[in-house]
Amino acid sequence: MTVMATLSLSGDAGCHVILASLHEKLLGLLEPHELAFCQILKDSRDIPDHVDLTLVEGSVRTENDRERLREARARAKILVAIGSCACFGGIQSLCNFVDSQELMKETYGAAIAEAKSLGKNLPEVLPKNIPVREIVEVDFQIPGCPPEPDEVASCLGAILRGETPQLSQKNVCDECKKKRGGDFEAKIRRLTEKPSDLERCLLELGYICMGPATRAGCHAKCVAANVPCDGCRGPADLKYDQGVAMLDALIAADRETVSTYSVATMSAMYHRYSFATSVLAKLLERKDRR
Amino acid sequence: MSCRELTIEPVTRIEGHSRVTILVDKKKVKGARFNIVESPRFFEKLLEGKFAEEAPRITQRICGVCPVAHHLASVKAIEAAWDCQPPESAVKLRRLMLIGQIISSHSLHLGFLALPDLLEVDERSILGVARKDPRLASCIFKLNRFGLQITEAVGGRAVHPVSAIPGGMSKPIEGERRDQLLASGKECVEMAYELAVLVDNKVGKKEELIECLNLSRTRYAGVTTDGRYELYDGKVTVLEPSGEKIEFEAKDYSDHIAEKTVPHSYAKHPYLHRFGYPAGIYRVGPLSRLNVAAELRGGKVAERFRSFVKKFGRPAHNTLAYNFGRAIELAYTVEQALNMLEDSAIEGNDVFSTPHPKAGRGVGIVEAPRGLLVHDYQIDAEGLITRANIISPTTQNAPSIESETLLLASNLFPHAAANLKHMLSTIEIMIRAYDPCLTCSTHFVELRKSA
Repeated sequence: MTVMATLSLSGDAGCHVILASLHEKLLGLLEPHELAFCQILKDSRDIPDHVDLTLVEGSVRTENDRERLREARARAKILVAIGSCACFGGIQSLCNFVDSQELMKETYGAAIAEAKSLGKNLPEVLPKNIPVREIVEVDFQIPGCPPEPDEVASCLGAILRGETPQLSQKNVCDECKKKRGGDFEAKIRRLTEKPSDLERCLLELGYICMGPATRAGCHAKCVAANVPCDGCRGPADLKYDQGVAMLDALIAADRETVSTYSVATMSAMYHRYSFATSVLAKLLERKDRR
Repeated sequence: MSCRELTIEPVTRIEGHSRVTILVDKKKVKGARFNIVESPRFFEKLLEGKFAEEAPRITQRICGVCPVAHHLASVKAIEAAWDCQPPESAVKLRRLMLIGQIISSHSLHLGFLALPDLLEVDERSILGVARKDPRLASCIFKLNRFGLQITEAVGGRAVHPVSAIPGGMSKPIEGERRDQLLASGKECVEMAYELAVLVDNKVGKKEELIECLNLSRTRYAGVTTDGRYELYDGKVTVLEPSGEKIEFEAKDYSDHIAEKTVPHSYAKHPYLHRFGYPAGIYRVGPLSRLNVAAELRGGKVAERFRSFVKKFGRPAHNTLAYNFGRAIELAYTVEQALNMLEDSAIEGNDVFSTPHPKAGRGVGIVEAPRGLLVHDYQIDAEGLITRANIISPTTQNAPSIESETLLLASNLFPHAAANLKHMLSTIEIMIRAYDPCLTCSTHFVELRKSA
């Protein structure tokens, strides 16, 4: 019998919604095993001392997140980061280049003064949002916002059988049904314009479609709905910087538009889910100007 | 006399991390707090400087349980700012997608989070439900799947859909998908009705629990159109305990709803401006929607609604009635989904009209599964967001959750000496009835500034 646990850090619970949506498959995964800790789906207050498999959803934003993650790691044989918040910091990392004190002040205003006196039991906000593997060792990552239900089921099935799960090594374009002609329209477009040809590759039509820089496995669903891929599954090869690769390609196509908007605007296009792991973020964090 | 703290941490079977703290001395409850320890994600700040048309896809990441509601409130806010009217076929698809969201979220809450208590299964989880009544678990799964399938067929993805864009929808619904949904819907309509009967019969017999959760007589806020039940668009209607109604337009919400910074916590508590704080607090969600709207008519759901009114009165104040209301809404929305799918107009191809970005402010409201949701954006001439404010349902229910925690603890504590566990578990059942979603409550975060 395998003892399992799930932990939610800073995120939106969407990965747990995916787990729940496995329905009969979830019961099949759980029935011979024990789900010992899962705050959202069952009554359980603490992670047991010995867990075979722990799934971590969400990134680390508070001291409380960091402590719980370290505790979970110490008690788990295998720790899996599930979803793009856990894997790459997720969408909330887009705030990483804003000073955390400014964030607090602007979001909560005068209440900050009160908060100082609140004292014990309150999680301290860390200066930035951090992916799980920058805090603890991670045995496997299942990316996606949210990850695909079938992929979650097959990865968990493999891990429970003692095998190493396999993720697709291709990129989203390999699964995309839109037609490519090989030429790029020399103008970047925004979503406010309707694609002139719904059969054709959105990137070639000028939309910032992250397909070439994003790991496949999602059947290019968003593009099939005529909306550009926004890169939610992170890069296919973790050696590469998903957004910088895309930026480089777009500079060649339309240098003028690429240079028009600030990092704050464009980080949400190139690094919507992976900003925390981006080299660009690390460079922006450097305050010493050396 | 020395005081001690009773705590529940984490509160289980709700979305997000929270703690209940009850301060007691030997005889009495001295205070109670519902603390959210969920990590802040600063979505309002995050939106600043972003392309407005990307916001519906970004903001739905506030919540993995009700992404469609955020997706749609967001797109409506942008369209309001740009004076842009989506074609009728697009609005039909959005309405269908929102109904799908209510179905998937309510079935998830009832089946996975609430029913384990109400059926008193040994292991308080869906596993316990499945062991005791496999057929019931299978119904829950089918209903949940139907909701997710609607979102996927209309929105392109089951969780975090992509199709609502300023000006309409990025695609119509394919005929094949519509046929599949019709087939599932026909299977689900009877199941949803049976579930409502089950909640009514079985749970209705828990008289002691119902009596316990008869706690406060509050006011209720929800969207209506000409006084009728509504989810996607309409006026905000507030029902006073006296029965009097106040109505206002979405765009005027900030004239009516104010937010109070509470000294003992970081929680900003929304309240109705004209009544002040705390007198002006109100509740939202299934209970509110059924209270503020005219009675549900037609179909077998009307019968369930009458039974609900008979049991809880009108307006219904009992907090356990949230679960009854959720079951009725689930049956009603499945019926509505089927009606919409049977009409061939749902396949309309004209789903987009090109928007013209301009500077302005826009407010978008919808009914999320847990209640009224407001997105409010200021956009500049380039179509970039310069300021955002989002009020989620759980933020609005938080003051009531906290005041009812105190009331319930005060009522139970004098008799709880031998069984504190029972008292604490009753408090959790009360909190669960609201189906709080703490990942949504971006405004409602208790935290300490980094050293």
